[in-house]
Amino acid sequence: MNMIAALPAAAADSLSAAAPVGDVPLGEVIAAWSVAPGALVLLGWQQGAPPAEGVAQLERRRADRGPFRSASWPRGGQDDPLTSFIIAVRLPQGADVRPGQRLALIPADGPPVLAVLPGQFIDGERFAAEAARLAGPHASLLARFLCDTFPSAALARLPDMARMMSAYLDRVSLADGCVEILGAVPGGCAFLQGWGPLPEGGVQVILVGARVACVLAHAAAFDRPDISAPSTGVVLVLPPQAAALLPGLARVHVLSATGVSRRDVVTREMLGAEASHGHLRDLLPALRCGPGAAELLKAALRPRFGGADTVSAAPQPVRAAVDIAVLAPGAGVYLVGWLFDPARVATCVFLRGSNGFSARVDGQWVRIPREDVSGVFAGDPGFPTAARHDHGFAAFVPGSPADGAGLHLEVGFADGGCAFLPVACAPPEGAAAAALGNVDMHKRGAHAVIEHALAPLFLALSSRPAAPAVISRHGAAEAAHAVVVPLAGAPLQPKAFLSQFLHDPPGSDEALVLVCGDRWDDLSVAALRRCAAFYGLPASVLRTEGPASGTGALDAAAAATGARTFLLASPGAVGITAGWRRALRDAAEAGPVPRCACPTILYEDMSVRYSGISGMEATDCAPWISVRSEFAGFPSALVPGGDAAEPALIGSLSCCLVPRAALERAGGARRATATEWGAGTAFFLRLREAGVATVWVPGVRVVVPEAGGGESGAAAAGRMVDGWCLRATAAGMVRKG
Amino acid sequence: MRVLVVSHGHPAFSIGGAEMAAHNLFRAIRDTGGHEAWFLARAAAPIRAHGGSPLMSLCQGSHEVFLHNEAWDHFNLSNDAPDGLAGFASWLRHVDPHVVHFHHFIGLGMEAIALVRRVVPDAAIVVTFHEYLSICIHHGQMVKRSRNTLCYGASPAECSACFPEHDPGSVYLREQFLKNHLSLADLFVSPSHFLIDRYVRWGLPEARFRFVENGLDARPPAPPRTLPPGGRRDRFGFFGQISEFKGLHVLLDAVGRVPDAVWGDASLCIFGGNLENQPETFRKRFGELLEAAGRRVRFFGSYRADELPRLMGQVDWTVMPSVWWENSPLVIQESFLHRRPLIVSDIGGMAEKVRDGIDGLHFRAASPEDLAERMAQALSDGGLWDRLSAAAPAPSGLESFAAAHLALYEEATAARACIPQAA
Repeated sequence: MNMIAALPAAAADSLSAAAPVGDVPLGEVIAAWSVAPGALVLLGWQQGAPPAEGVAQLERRRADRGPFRSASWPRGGQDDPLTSFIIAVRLPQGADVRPGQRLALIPADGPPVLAVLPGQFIDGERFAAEAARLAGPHASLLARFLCDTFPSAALARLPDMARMMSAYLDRVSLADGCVEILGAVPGGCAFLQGWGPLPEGGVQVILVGARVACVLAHAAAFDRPDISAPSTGVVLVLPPQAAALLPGLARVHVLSATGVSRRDVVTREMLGAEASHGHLRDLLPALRCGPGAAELLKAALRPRFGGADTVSAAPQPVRAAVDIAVLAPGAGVYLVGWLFDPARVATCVFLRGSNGFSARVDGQWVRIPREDVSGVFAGDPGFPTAARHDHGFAAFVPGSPADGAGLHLEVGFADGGCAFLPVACAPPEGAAAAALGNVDMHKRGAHAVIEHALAPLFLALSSRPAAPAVISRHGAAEAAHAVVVPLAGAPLQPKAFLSQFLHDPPGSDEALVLVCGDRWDDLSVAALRRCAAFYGLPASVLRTEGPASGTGALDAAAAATGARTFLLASPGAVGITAGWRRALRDAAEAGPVPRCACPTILYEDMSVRYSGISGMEATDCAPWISVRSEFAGFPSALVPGGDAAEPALIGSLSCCLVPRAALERAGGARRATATEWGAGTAFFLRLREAGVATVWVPGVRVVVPEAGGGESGAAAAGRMVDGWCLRATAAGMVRKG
Repeated sequence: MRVLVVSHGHPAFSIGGAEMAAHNLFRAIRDTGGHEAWFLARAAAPIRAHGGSPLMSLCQGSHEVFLHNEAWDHFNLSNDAPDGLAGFASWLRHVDPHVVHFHHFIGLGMEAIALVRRVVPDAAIVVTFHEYLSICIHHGQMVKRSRNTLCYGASPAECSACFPEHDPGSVYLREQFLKNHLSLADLFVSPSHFLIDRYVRWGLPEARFRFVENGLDARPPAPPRTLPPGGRRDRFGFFGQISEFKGLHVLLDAVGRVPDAVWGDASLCIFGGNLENQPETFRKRFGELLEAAGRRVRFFGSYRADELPRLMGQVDWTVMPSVWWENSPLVIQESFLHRRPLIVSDIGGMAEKVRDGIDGLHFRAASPEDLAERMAQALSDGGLWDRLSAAAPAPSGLESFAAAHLALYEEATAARACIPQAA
């Protein structure tokens, strides 16, 4: 656990473990508080300043070492040579820190300093009192140190520290003004309006309420005839993230060079988004503010998206469209579209959502040539001639725009205006595949689109288990061994597959599980059942949501049947070795631990399609992953036969025996991937991670012709996408090429 | 022995060599004492199906039945709705044959073989191949699609190159589908050794093949054409379907190449139908060649099988210029019966059946130049016709045709009886 977030962790690593424990004494540690196991805060004084940061170590216990940082200030007047200090130390959580121990403070450059911990530790409340007493006029400095050492996230995890800070601030701050109005504009800013002296520029404030948090605020002033100078009307403009801290806010401590002032919140009412927007808009003409506040207010008061496309009617010679938007829930949005801006008047493009989601798109997009867009506007007198054609863009915008509601692009212009374009997100199922098909692999920038936009989308989607739901099951054939056949795509009867059982009938412990995707309707499912029945085969037909992939079929079969093993076989698989199904089962169940078994898989011309994968290498450019297979493409006769199984890094979904136990260890088979190849590779790597080996049985031969003619553009793009994702997720198992 | 002969058509409705051969066999077995023969033919449009059953009689007698089926996947030679064969199954149980002899699967589907194996597991299944349809997507002709050049061997890659709409994988799976079903057959029959060789090279077991020549109805040969004093054997005849594969364009081209001095008053008589079903380009070309040939060629159109002796009587030579391999065309047997020497392409079943220089002449397939030379030789060599005609072998009659089949049925059923449990 990162107990003290801002402590210089790197310093600990840079020092030699054998660094000597020094004997330069630290003056006197007058108070020590154990904030949490291993975390100490010390107060004291000495001659001169202690080291600002370094590594602390319990004397003679090298294992108990960790970073420290300190702040110091003059103890008394000009004649006082002593310096007060506060030191925060983070030792390992298991460190046995006890009163009276000696603690070495080892700076990166200088001699170690030896501190003796007091005879007893005090609690947070007493520590706050000691700190307030010791800080004197330098209370603001000590508060800043605490803010820097314990930022908001750390305070949220250390409630004792938050309470101590609150107590300390109550002791050192003077009431000077109040907060009368609280509000926030989502995606813009939060604000606290009241009165008091006007802080200058950016100022650190500590918000105390349900939580304690340090925030950088920008102040703006407005006249309040009812308030006497030097106080005035004040709006503290806070970053939008601070909106979460406003409910329950009790007081605000403003840190300045001269001290800490306190402004109590005198209202419990917080303005809503619309009211906040209207309030600030009305107040804006009366506000006097510096650039920081002005920028935040401008962001908050910019025109708001009303649900309509205003880019198409913008007076600027700019037009835009979004062709594809795919939402990866909780991860981000994939966008493909174009922005025609021949005069270069657009200065920024944001993707925003109604839940406050906001992310800049133009900083991370990949531009794509779109001559067609140039052509559309070529004869339009309202638009200059485009000198370039890179109007297209693709981007993966990370973030969580909830369910995509109210999602829109905001195009900002040089003149300060902006225009909006609604973005309708499609759910990832199906849309991701459409996005693949949209990539023109022959266009400049295609590889960059894959690397920077499309692959991150699939990586985000792949983290979710995505077992397809079984819509319906037809037939109740059950057996210990299931032959699982995924029937992807259009409903075509697997005649060759089913008819091979004419001369190799299923055993009494075998049953077929035919898994159809959602393109199969009731009629085609019925025809399939009749076809299986015609050949006298015990078969169940499962109809699943979405297309039926190999991994999806495995999951569906595992969920719908009680089979002990699953022989996943492509509908084009033709076993040419007698007893091939039994041989694969024997290989998978040969040892005490379940393992997967694949045959030698051949193309229709009897050349080798799969003969075990002995290794994978990551590459620095597309296709990102390359696999090593010794006999790939060889005539099958050159592959040694025999029943002995050989280890393989990954198997093939075209034909593979997967025991149920293995499937369960891997947490199911299916994840969202761009291609079946990617799905299979990822599955077998996960199996391996789960301790399930895959073996190749060279002597068992199965022909699995490739479907279709050659690789489509979408398939090529998908393979690159999956290669990129595999490189990112399976780095531990993939050798660097 | 109870034998069921299955054909893709019935000669009463569809005149084709395979239908004729199948029906001839049925009749021959029926007429052989001690045996019972049944005939099942596939029916399809324009024959209208009955409402309640795919089975129909069509007034062909008690032992000839039609199975109406339109659910047909031509690429895979498969029945798209095999459960529609249920009517066949119930009739099959009723007939309970010892032997089911398939002469074709077109229109019925390979599934019919599986159905027979399941419904009457003890029955022997015999399959006769009449062409290369299982091997070749191109109408079973083993001729390349682009320029009708000869194909010497099918493979998924080559067939896909010929038919780019079918990827190699589909071609492979088609082949496996067919072989899966053909593996159920006990014996294969072919009327030519050439065809056996092709199927064995395709992967079917040679041991299961038997050669049986087609048989013809016993009838007297047509007498030689009466010649006027000093006349020549100068009348050529073509008999068969008018199609690209039959090589009529080669023949018409060749006729035009024979010098006038040699041709004299010779003529070519074309007897054949089905022109209207040919591709437009072929019909146009055929018309142009016919017109260019002028008075040398006479086109008589289609004929009925029973007209053949009379039509053969009008010619001296039979020309068979097929640009595909053929198998064992009945026209060859008919020509031998009527002692009309043949001029044939030097390939496949034609080269096997007709002996060059003994009972006919060979010419280089698809070569009008070479055919023209052979025709010129036939017109110029005064003693040639007599020599070749005299050497023509006597074709098999239906009795021996049936006897040969019954012998192999005995063999198949005996072997089948040795299998402990029919599978």
